[in-house]
Amino acid sequence: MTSTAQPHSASKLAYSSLGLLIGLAVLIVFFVWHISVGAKSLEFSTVLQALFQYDDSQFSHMIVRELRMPRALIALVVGASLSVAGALMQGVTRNPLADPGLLGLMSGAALAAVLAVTYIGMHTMAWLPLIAAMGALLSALLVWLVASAAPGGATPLSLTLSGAAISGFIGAIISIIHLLNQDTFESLRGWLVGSLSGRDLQELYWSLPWMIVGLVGAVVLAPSVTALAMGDESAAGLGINVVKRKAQLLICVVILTASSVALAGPLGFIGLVIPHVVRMFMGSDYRWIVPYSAIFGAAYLLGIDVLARLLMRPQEIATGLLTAIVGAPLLIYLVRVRIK
Amino acid sequence: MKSIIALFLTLVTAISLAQTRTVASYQGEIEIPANPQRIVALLDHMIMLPLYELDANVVGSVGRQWEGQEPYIRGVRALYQQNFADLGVEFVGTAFSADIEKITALNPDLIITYNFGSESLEQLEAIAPTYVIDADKYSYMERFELLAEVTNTTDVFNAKKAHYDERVAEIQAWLTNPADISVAMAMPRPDSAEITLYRDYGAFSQVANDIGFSLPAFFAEQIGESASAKISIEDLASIDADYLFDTFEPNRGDTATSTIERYNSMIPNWCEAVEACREGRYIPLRRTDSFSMSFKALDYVLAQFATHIAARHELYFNE
Amino acid sequence: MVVIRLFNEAFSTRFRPIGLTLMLAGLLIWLGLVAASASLGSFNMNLAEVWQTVIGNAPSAQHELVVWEFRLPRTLVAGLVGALFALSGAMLQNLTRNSLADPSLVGISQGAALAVVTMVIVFPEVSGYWREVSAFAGSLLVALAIRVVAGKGNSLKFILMGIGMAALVSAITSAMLTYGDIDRAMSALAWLAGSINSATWSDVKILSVATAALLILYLVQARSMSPMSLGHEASVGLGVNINMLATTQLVTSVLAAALATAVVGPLGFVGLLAPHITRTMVKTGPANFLLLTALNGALLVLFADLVGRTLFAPVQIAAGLLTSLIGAPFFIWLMLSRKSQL
Repeated sequence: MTSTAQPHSASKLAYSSLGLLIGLAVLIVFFVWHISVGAKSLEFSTVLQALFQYDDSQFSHMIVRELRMPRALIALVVGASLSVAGALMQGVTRNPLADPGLLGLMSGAALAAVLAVTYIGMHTMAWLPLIAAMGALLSALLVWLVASAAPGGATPLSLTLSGAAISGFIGAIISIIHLLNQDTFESLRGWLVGSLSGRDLQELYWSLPWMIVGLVGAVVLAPSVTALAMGDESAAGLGINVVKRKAQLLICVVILTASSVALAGPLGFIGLVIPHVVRMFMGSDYRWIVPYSAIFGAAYLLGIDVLARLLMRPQEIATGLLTAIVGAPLLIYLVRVRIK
Repeated sequence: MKSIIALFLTLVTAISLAQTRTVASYQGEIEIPANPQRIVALLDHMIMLPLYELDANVVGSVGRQWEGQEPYIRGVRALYQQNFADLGVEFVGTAFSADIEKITALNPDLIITYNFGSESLEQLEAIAPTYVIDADKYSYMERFELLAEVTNTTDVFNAKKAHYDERVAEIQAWLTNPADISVAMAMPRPDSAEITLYRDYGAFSQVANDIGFSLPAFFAEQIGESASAKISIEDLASIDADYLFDTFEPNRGDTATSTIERYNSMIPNWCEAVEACREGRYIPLRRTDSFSMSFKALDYVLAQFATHIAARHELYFNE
Repeated sequence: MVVIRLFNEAFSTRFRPIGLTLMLAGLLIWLGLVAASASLGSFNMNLAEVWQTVIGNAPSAQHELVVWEFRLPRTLVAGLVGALFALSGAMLQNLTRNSLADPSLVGISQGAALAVVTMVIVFPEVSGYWREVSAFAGSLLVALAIRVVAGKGNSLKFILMGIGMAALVSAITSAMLTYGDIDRAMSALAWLAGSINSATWSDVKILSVATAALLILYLVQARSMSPMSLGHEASVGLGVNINMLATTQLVTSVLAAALATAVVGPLGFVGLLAPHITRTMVKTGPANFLLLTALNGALLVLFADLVGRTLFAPVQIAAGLLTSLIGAPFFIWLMLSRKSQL
């Protein structure tokens, strides 16, 4: 493993670790907050009882354990996965606007899922993450290939434009399927906005192993992302096999994105927002950016999902709508500030 | 003599063909043929199906089409196993994007659509008088009756309606007081962890209202003036119907237990939380059969109510 | 070399013979497509019957209806919106000095889409006319918003800002589609696909006035176009009042795209493709370039509409879906074949 960052001073290490601990504490608080609120008002003591003295004959306990817990857990892993995926993409492509949604990965995963549901008549979730992953991988490769083959290579602009074009193409195909087939539109229209509701633990169990592989991979590869973020030449100078490492990172990104899409639909902008906020505080060392993105991404999505259920109670707002409403202004801000 | 009769019949037909009358449509008063001979239906399960039962003269209808499969008429296929070719009706495109030229080629004398259709009314009216049903203003039975009226099949409608009314009266006679029994339709939405509560669920609600069952208090409060409302699965235990109905759709691969699996996928032991289910009064029905605009659908719902409520209520549940 | 001078030298341009030849060829192809579009469709009729109908001897009232009320307005509207999108795209590309700018990439289509979906789902009783008006207003608002947030930014900023705004607006549109009544949502979806099926003669009138006005305006300004695409400093050096020009051109190009979108719904990638097809065909002066581009746009949309309504008839594929399916791969090919860096 090649470490490229400067050695940390003891105090920097201490601060960073402390920050991580604070992040964890915030995460736990958000998690508990998340499972304490919902359409039905429950006493906090009931929530605690449901967690520690579970009685499956009580419906209120079931609400906490069977409905809110899976949703909170899914928000947690999806938030972490998308943020880490975004962080890796931004590092590797040196593109501050990289986000799994903007670069066409999400529409690829969505198309694969729509095709699977419509034409194979797939109703089990077991293979959906894998199928979505293949869709995401294909569209990611396509976006990347197009952008790197363009004169000037994979610049922020070429990546974003090729992502927009490929998303537009895939969107047209999805529209045709929907217009011909009202049933698919009816059953998938909720999922296509990005939503955390209605998932059960079974689906999480199918996706979790993939996500763990992706997250562990990200942590292991993080030091070389720091190098790659400084440029391919400097990374190669540090003895990194650039092509191989980029391929490994791409696989991590795809796995993380695709399992997230399979679980929660195309939730936009999380992968864009969190890594930027993290970088504001942590600088450019990906050994810290990756774990921070994971923890704060998880807390962020938990928080957004709490809002999604509270703002119009007892009605819910689609979580994907809120992530876009919060995320898009940030994108605009970034363009104003970061793009010369 | 024969030729005189033939001449007379031709004359009568010609006169009846030439005659028009004015009806109130969504867009205002329109002139339609007194006895339409070539009707085009722009929604399958809510126009083509009732017209088929009324024996109206339909020449074209929209349908649904899955990739590579024969187009089919939603509702007519499920309830009568009939398709375009069987009925001698032309396929004029998919619902919400009909082929305007195909409609013209059929030379219709009346086109019927809903006020939420996406085809251009201006173009339709250029082809033939277009009757637009106001889905927001009329109830299920009112729309059915209007369809009969504009297609000059009120006699058929009245005969079927009379038969239906008799059967409604029959069930009413079997029950001490239908208003004491609350009946409702609710469907699980596992994709969004919600349950849809219905006030107006096509044929089902029509029959329930005609018999005089009441809508449960929680349903009335949640739905308000709309046709339906969604509640979170967290409020499952508030569902207060005496008899709780649900639907499954064999056309989409459902079996009779699919709704139960849907609830199970959201929350195990859900049945314990809902009084109706706990007490054996949760009943899944076939979807198209209990929703469509059709006397066959109304009959189906009547039979379900007779079996599940009228026959069992006095015996098991009436304290 | 043909030199045309009009309006006391205000309009003066040079046409290379090759440019003129291409325009002539384009017009011939257009006429061919118009003939095809007037004679093909689910209502069977042969070319002779079409001709009889056109000259006023229709074999039946239906022939007259199909040709005069359905096929001709539809054919003309397809050509006109194609030309409008193409001119709008050409202008946007010139203004942003970025050859990848397109009305659908900078939020104009998305603004119209949100407005229409809101109308269909939240105010279903409102008539089609107001739907068009709101589409127009919606796209203008979004374009304005992008302009405001992009500030004095360069072309890159403008495009990226457009993509960001488009993502935000699309998210709200999807949410509307999710919560709306399913029948109304399907109806809105049909509009979003970009279909020309409800074209009328009044659409033809409005669009042809707009197209003519836009063409004249752009042709008058054509002389200043080539300096502008050289870059700001160069054009100031050549004595062109950049701000005034840029503002008129931006406003008119947005108006053009907004109008076209309001009438037929979003047609993806036309504004992007048409100018590029021209560029690959011939290197020519600005006026000739604009005319050819408008022609290319018209051909493209007319072709998409013709294929979409006949290929799987009576199942109708909206023109907008076809232009996206053709346009996106073409866009990628364009990115790849550029000589200069993005």
